[in-house]
Amino acid sequence: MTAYQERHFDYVMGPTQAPQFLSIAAGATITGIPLQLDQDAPFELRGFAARIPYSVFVVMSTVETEDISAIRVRYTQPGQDYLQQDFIGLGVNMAGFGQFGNPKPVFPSVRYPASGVIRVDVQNTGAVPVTNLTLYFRGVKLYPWGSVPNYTYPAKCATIPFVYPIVVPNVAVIDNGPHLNQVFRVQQDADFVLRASQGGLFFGNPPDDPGILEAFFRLYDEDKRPYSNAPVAVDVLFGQAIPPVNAFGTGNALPGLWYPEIYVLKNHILYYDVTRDDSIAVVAGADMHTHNLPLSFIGAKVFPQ
Amino acid sequence: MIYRPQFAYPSPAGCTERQFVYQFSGLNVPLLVGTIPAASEIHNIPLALQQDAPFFLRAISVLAPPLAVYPVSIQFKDAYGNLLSSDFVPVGQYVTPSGTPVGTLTVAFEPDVYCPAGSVLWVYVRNDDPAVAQTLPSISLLGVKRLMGAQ
Repeated sequence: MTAYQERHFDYVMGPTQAPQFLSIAAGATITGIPLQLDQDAPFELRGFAARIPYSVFVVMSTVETEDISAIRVRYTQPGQDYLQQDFIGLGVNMAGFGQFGNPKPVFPSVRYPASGVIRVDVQNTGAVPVTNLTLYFRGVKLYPWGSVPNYTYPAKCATIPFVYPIVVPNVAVIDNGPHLNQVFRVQQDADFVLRASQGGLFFGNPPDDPGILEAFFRLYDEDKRPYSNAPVAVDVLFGQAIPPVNAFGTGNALPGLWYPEIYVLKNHILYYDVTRDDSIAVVAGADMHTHNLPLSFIGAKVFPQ
Repeated sequence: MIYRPQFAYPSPAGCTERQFVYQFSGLNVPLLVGTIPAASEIHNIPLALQQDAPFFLRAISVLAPPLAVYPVSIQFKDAYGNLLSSDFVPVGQYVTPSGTPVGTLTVAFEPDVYCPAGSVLWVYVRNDDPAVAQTLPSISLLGVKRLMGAQ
């Protein structure tokens, strides 16, 4: 047994947490951007990802497009020493920028104290500004055993693989209210251990309908304790299952993992928020529509014996 | 927690395990021939396993037509009648392989699913397209046969 109870957590560092990320000018270097960590528990960093909104890639074909691979980043460990010798290009550092449920591993993991700060330096080496950059620091929060719910397997049990498909209906182009505090309830015949998730319909039926580009997901436990500090982009959390993005290195065989797995007793619940903001695509002239958003919770049913 | 490398299952003493693949399609399953009509479901498509040895299902690969969106959902039932999902799940979000077009990574089922010799798995297919019939997929079941004694 580990010394601490680990609990999956994603720290989102986007324009809301770092206003400097709203627009990074071409050629600019911005240093010392702080990400304030929560005060409830230390955080152990184990993965890293980055993205900018898809809409700019997809829609702005007649102008020079923003390029996330022009972004170079470095960040600090506790004590403010950098974990990199110099700025590191996102395109060089990790496949797919750590998206699609496959973050760049950070190993050995780096432990930050409660209320700690990760300082980030960002550099845009491209010829155009980069807007709405978001960095994701994935890992686990560390709690003393018993301080947060810790449901686990019965002493004797049998398991079968199981998937709960979830359809979030009618997600509007700008949707920040109707799909908050949604309830996922485990069936009453068995416990469920959530190990991975998958999502789809990000690209709809192009070119007429780009589908859903900017959807965000936030998971909470039964006590409304979140598994992230802010909503996480669905295509960072989950695998990219559906073409036209070929699922190479991602996809159904490599779905986004919840680590540690989340054990939910039968008939118990998790909460989740789904939001969407495709306003950038609308302003750029894309024909966006309301869509259902299909998601899957992947794991195993646990039958006590 | 039960985290371990997938497929790192030891073979019991006195048994030999052989990798085995079952392939089901319109060539050997009549209910998988042709298309499924728009907005319809096909239930109880049998995937009959061979009688010589138990089979441990460890991965599935469903090959769908190369469409931008393949609007077909699927649901599996194991040999004991246990559904493996709470509802139909879009094929492209569930059991299509990763890594196309360079090789394929099949979708692991964790834990593996025990199938007695000669048993039948069942699959349910639903066409979510309200207007257009869709080609039925082919289904590959990957795993091991457990044979008694040294082989």
